[in-house]
Order: sequence, then C-alpha cells, then structure tokens
Amino acid sequence: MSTAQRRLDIEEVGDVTVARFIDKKILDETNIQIIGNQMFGLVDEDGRKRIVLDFTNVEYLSSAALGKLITMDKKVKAAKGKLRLCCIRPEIYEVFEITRLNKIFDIKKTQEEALEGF
Amino acid sequence: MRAGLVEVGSLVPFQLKRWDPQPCGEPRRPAEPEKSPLEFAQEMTDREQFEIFIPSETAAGQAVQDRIIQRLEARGFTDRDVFGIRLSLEEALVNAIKHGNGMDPSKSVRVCCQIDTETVVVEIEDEGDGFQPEEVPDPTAEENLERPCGRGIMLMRAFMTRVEYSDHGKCVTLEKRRSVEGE
Repeated sequence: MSTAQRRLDIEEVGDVTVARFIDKKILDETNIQIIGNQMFGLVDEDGRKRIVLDFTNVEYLSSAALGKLITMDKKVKAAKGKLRLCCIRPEIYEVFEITRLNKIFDIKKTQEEALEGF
Repeated sequence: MRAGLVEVGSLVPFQLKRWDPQPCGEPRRPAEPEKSPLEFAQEMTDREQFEIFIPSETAAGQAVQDRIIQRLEARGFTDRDVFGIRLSLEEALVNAIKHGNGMDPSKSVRVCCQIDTETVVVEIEDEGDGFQPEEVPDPTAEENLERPCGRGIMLMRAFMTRVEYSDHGKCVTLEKRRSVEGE
C-alpha cells in the first residue's frame, strides 16, 4: 500500500486529522478500493480517532464510494472516535440526501465548522 | 440536402431494427403528424447514436462514459444534467460489469447510446443471470441505512427521467430529458 499513489492529503490540526480527497472523481472500483484502504488505514494502522474528511476537490462520488464512507464511519465509531465530513458541493450533498446518508454522517459546511468543538 | 436526406433514410431501418427505446408490450408512440418531412429530416440529422460492446472491465466502462459525457457537454446539457447522467452511467455500468458479468473476461457489455437535441437514451445490457430490481432492499429504510451497498439503482432513479429494466434485469434503459438552464 505504501507504494500506491497517495489519494488523501493529510493535515494535523491540533489532535484532529483532516484528510482531504485528492481525486475529483471517486468512481471506478479500483480507485475506490485504493482510496478506501488509505482512509481505513487512518484508523486501523495509524490509530487516529478524530477525523475530518474534506470533500473540497470531489466532483463525483458513486454509491460504491458511499459504501466505503459508511464502513469508515463504523470503524471510527468502533474505535470510539469521531468522524465529520465537510466542504461537500451541492450536487454531492444531494447524493447524501437522496440516500438519506445525511442522517448518518455528521456533515459540516466548512473545515472551520468541522473543527469547531471537536 | 438531397444527399443528406438519402443518408437519413438509410438510418431508419437500422433504428427500427436495433433501437427500441420504448418498453416491451407498450403501444408505440403515435407518429407526430405536425412535423413536416423536412423538420423530421432535420431532427434526424441532429440525432447521433452508437452501439459498442465493451469488455467486463471498469476501465472500459469509464471510457464509454467519457465518450457519452463529452457528447452531452458539446450539446450544452446543463452541468446538473451531466452530473446526474455520469453518476447513473457509472452505477449502471458497474452493475453490468461487476454484478451482471461478474468481471468475467469472456463476457461483454453492450452499450447503445442515442442522443438528440432533447434527450439521451442509453441501453446497457450484460450477459449475466439477471436479477429482480424490485427485490433490492430499500437502502433508505432505517435497518439498511448502515449497509454499505444497494444505493446505485436508487441514485439512477433519482437523477434520470426514466430507468427501466428488461430481459429479467439484464438490460437497463436510462433516459434523461435535458433540463432548461435555471429550472
């Protein structure tokens, strides 16, 4: 995995990890698999517990990617951590609304809001 | 013009034989008598279509997606339409390649696309065993919300004007009528 191209930009803000997706399109099985593994690694390998996923760059997101986000949410919850999503553009937010996943995820408009009171 | 008409005429039998965007068993749409032959011919020349067979690989699915999206962008479909169509194509192609054909390299996926000034219709057919779309559990039901799968069909239905399964779930027809900017 370490040799695979990095798909998340990681930034530490205090004790919170901000992971920003690099890809514009989170589509295609292989792609989603790699992104998913790098995301899961934040919890499983690095033991991070307070994570903000930043969607600034994301223009497309398929249902398979939603599946990875659900698994990620479960992993963070199981580790007694906290996961927030932020900077989701309106079309993508609609995807969360249609699938009612906006009820599951803690979604904030901006990164500042996501970091507030974490 | 004459040459154009001849060319248009030659397209018709192909469309009747190979392309039927209406669901089986439903009466054909009546002819539209208000259109003059010239108007009809002009509309036909604005119409483009292609049919290809792609291998059961997601990269091939991406390539055909790009090809369709480029055409829609060139025709000025709105960003929102393009977003919904790309997402729906992705979901339908992944379903056909992965769930239908099980990524089997000996099987292919047929993609037939027809675009005119108002509408895009894409038919995607796999060589799998089919499935019952109505038996896919509702992913928005409380008990299914945390399940990581089963949202593709729902997204297609939300973003497209028409989504229809035929041939026991082996073939899906996606249709999108273009929106007017500002709608």
